[in-house]
Amino acid sequence: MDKILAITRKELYTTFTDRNLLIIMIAAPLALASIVALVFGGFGSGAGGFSFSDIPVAVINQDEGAEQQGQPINYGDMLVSFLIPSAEAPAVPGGAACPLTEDQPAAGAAFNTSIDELLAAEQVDDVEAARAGVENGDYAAMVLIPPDFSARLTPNIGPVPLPSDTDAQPEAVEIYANSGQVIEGTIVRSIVEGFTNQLLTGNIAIGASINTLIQQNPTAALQLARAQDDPQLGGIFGCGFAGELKTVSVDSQPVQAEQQPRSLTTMILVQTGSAQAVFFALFSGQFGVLSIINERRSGTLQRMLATPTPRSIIITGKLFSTVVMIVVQISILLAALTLVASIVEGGLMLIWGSNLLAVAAVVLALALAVAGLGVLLMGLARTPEQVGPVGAILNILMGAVGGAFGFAPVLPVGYLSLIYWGTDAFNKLSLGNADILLNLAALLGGGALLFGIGLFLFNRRVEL
Amino acid sequence: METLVEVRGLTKTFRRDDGSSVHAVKGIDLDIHRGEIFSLLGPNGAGKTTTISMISGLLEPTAGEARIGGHSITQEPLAAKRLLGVVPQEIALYPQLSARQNLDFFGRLYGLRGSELARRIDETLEFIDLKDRQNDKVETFSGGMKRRVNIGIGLLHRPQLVYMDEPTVGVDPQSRRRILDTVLRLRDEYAMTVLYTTHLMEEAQELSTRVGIIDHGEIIAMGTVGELVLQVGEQDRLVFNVDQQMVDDALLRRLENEVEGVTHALFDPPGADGESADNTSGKIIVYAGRGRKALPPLLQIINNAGLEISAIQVKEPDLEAVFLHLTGRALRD
Repeated sequence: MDKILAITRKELYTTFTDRNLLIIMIAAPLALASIVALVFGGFGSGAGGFSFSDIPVAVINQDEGAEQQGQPINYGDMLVSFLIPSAEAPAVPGGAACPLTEDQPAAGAAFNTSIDELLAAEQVDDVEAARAGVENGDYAAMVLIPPDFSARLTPNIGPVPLPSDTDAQPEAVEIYANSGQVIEGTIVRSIVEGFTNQLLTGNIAIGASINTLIQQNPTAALQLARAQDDPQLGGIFGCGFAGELKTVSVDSQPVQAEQQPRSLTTMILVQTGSAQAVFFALFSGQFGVLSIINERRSGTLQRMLATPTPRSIIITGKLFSTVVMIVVQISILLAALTLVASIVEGGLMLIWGSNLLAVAAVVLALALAVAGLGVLLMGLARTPEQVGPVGAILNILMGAVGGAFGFAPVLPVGYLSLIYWGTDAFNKLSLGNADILLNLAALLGGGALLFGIGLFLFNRRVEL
Repeated sequence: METLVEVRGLTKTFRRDDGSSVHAVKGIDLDIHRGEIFSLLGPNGAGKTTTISMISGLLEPTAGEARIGGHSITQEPLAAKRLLGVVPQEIALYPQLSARQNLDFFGRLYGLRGSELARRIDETLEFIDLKDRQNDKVETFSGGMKRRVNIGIGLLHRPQLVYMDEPTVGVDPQSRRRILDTVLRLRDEYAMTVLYTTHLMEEAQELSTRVGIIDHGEIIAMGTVGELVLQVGEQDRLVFNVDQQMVDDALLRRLENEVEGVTHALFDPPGADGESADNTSGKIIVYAGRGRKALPPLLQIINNAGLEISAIQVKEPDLEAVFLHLTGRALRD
């Protein structure tokens, strides 16, 4: 262990006392964060140049409907017609359209785009096929409306107590989003959430009024109940969704609802920043390779190998130093992007989530994986000239299939990319989803495999 | 005499990209005794460095084995390497680190720690006479100073065997003298065994207890300088400095054929021995059984050829003559 530490310390000393290397390793990520901020900084205020349209969404309506004041109602159909404007609008009890949802700004209006232009939603029946479509990138998200959606929302007017918040049992509309298209997924989520919030707002207002009326003036309440045949009032009842005031929530997978509210700029910062952090790390891993090949060229590697030090110890010492350098580099980039997001949002914004331990675990796993990739490159290449093109091709391929360049990962091939697993883990954490064990396992397992192959090749191919 | 290094049938074959093979070392047998300076003498490309690289564990032999202190370099590499200090031909240092930091780093790789490491570093800095510059970065050092640090690293852990690969290549005469004195001190003051490779006959002759002459991957002669010279017989070497960069082969053949006792004549062009580029004077080297007797007719033929002679040396038989005798070529060819 002493020898590993000696090699690691020497590597770090020579790196961190080399001004040019420092510029490449630290200033470059900071510059990248600044560029990302400049490019995307105006987006949140509407001055940016990005627009989203025709986001592919699969909508599955399993809602079995319910009966309200003797008439059938299906709130799932209402949601479908909201998401797919061309779909046939369902009838509401009393035959009137809901005045609270009619002419209301859609959730997507914040993007100055109509739902029709924003989404390219289609209704499908097969849940598993839709999930697979999300996973392979055909859909950015799937919206699954559960069978008892209407039943649980149907008003049940009567003298029932208002539930406390803790009593409320959320009825979930599931959103299954592609973690490689987190912005699109978040837009869909916002739209669905906006719709359900509108319903819930109407529900609370009407429900509270009716309960008060029943308790204070039962006669008037009875007259009100008889007036349900009035088309206009019936429409209002159509918007009141709970005698029991059940809450409606949106359950997103892997998106969870713990995150801080954030602008689209911040969402882009997260997605772009996480992909670029991983992409940068790959090149830093390559730097570790160049270091050992340069040592071979200058004769110091031979000198180390002439000491009673096994090759595996030398490689491990190199690996450790590469890991430390990558951890420092990624940490600086993540911190810089957090700073940018906080400035954009006007307050501290933990864009990578509040679980700092998990973020640290991902950074460490990623650094180990990338360093393992570096060892593989070292085993493959004999000269720095070979490392350049081989490493660049490998990195760009991983970036392309792993979703580093602004488009969705190419799945299932993307599963072979360290970039996919790293970016996916950062995106999950940024959305408050701590379910990153598979990501950590993929990164650590992949890194160990690459390290093993690289060490084997190095031992076989090294010619001194 | 106790044997420290045993080499048996050591062979190295490299494969070229076109599939052909290069036999760099062809089954060398060698014993090096404890406390001696053993020089491996041969021209560039003879296989010296390849042989030493296998003995020090940097190259895996294609066949054969080397043992240091009884430890096989392939079977027990770590045990063998603990007994070995390496001074490579090229300066293998970290220029961004100071002399002390370089020594400290390699000392740790040799397993030295704490106060023992600090003491060894101090002793080594004293030995290479760089104590006052120990904290300066190596990149600020002159070539000679870098050479001294390069040597110091190989001595730091007090190895039983020090391998020095042409340590005087490209150094100025003053630094070269200092290095040669260092080699002698290692044997005389520290009782170390030195394995020294060189293509310079003068160095091998001055330093060596024994010499192995290597050519085309084979050891063609081995023994003390005296034993080797005896193989040649009484042959003098006559060196004529002439103001020419090239001479006609016909002239050399005339010297061989027309002067009694001359066995071989060759031309050593200027710059072949790292001389200044300004030096335009080449050397006609003649080997003759009785040099002084052959001198007048040799002078006459060279003068008649229109060459101006600026200096003449007559030398006793040496390793250069041995090499020529064994291979038909000069050591520097």
